[in-house]
Amino acid sequence: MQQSLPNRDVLDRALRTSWIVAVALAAALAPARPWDAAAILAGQLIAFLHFIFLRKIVKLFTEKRGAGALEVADRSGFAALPFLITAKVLVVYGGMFALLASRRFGYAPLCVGFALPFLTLFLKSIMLAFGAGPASLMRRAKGGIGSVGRAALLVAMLAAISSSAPGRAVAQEHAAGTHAAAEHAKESGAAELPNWLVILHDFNPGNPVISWLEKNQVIVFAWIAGLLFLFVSWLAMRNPKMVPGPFQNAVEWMVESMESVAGDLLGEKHIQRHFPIIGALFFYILTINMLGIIPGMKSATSSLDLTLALALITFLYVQFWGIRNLGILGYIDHLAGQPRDVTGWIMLPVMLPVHVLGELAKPVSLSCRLFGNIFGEDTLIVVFVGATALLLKAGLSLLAVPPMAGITALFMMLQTLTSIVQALIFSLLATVYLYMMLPHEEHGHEESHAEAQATH
Amino acid sequence: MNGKTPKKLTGWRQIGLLSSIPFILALAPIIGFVIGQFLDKHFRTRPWLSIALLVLGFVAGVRETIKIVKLSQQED
Repeated sequence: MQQSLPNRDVLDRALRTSWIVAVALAAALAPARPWDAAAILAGQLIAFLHFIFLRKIVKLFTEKRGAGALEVADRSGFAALPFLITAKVLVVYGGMFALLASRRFGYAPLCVGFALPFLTLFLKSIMLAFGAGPASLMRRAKGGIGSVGRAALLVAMLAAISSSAPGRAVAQEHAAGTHAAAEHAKESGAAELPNWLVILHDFNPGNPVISWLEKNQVIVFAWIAGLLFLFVSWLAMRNPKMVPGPFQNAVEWMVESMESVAGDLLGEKHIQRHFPIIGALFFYILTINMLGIIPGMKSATSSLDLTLALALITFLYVQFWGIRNLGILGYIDHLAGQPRDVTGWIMLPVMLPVHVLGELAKPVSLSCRLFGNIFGEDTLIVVFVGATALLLKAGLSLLAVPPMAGITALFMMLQTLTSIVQALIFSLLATVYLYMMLPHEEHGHEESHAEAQATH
Repeated sequence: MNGKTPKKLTGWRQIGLLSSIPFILALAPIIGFVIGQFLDKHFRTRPWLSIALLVLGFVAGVRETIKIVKLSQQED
């Protein structure tokens, strides 16, 4: 149970960093747009409260976990729970609603402020995963002067940017004033770089086949990725050898790593049966995501249709195995929260919709996350390419191109990372959902031992 | 498979699990509300079923969150 302490530490540090960033942003914005600065701080405060309440609620449930890992073992501290949840809903959701309804705060700065803690938490967890362990985090936490210095540097940089911003905005407005630039802006309103199908369509506007393909480009690119995936697999395995060549070795290494990650979660018995779909999901999504990095291609996962379809497949697969393992009656019993006593039966009308809603939230959250991340990355790159184009039109090529190209390249590297992480997260969460549905007593020695203890 | 997860992969698993919390928390009430709207239209009970399912969605979101946090702290 070493993990709980570093986790809390990471959350603390992430929240502190997000406060520093939020204050710096607000300070940089304050002279020009005081309301936006206030909105960033307000959003940050709401998100901060959200995390504080969430930690309190979670702590109530996980403080004494000795016996059943998944079962709620003790109910001593639960009296505070309704109060905490009500307070959280009132303060966090009510506060957010009030801020949005007051109309004085801008929508975008509020969202920026609200997203900052999430972003820093995400980045900190990635740092942790890359081996910046708790020890090094602690050591750096002691060097308070260093962090203050860094914060000061950040404030200075932001102030410099904000002071140059009006000039740049004027330049952009000037550029947008011309007719051609306005047209360009309208085109980039689609928030996508043109892929080869769009270009082909522009050159052959009348061709029915091309216009059909252009209309269904998500499917086309999903098929391209699928075929690429099949082709690589076939190429690697058409002539398998006991002592593999470099290519076969690489592919085998990828598959085996994924199998070991998913196998740790599911257990050796289940992984044999379920790895085909988990592995296929991972490598298919990875191929689709990576395809978007090639210029002229598009990630089909930047469309909600495809991610929803993938999540639906996962959802049906998980529910199918749930029914198959538990039987129809057992499955309904599982959904109803396994009523065994009077309280259970009284709570049935409440617990049944709660379980069903929880099951439904899983595929939607899977698809929204994948879509949001990939679409966000694509849009980010488009924004920077568009900004570069606008600055070029304004005749600021020397000022615009080198830093913009650097930033875009940086984001493309980030996109590579996001592609891998999102594919991994999607397939791992599918594995987790499957794991929640499968019978647990066969999983490991520890759990069955704990359950045996609980029944005594 | 070999009984011991490398440290990096444990980190990834936790990122995956924990980063799904905001989505679940936000989406469960929304899904509840949408289903409630649909049922209200059918049974002409506006707005009671929407409100009830919205509240149940909150509960479902918190419950799933607790499940996920427990799962992420489990070591095997």
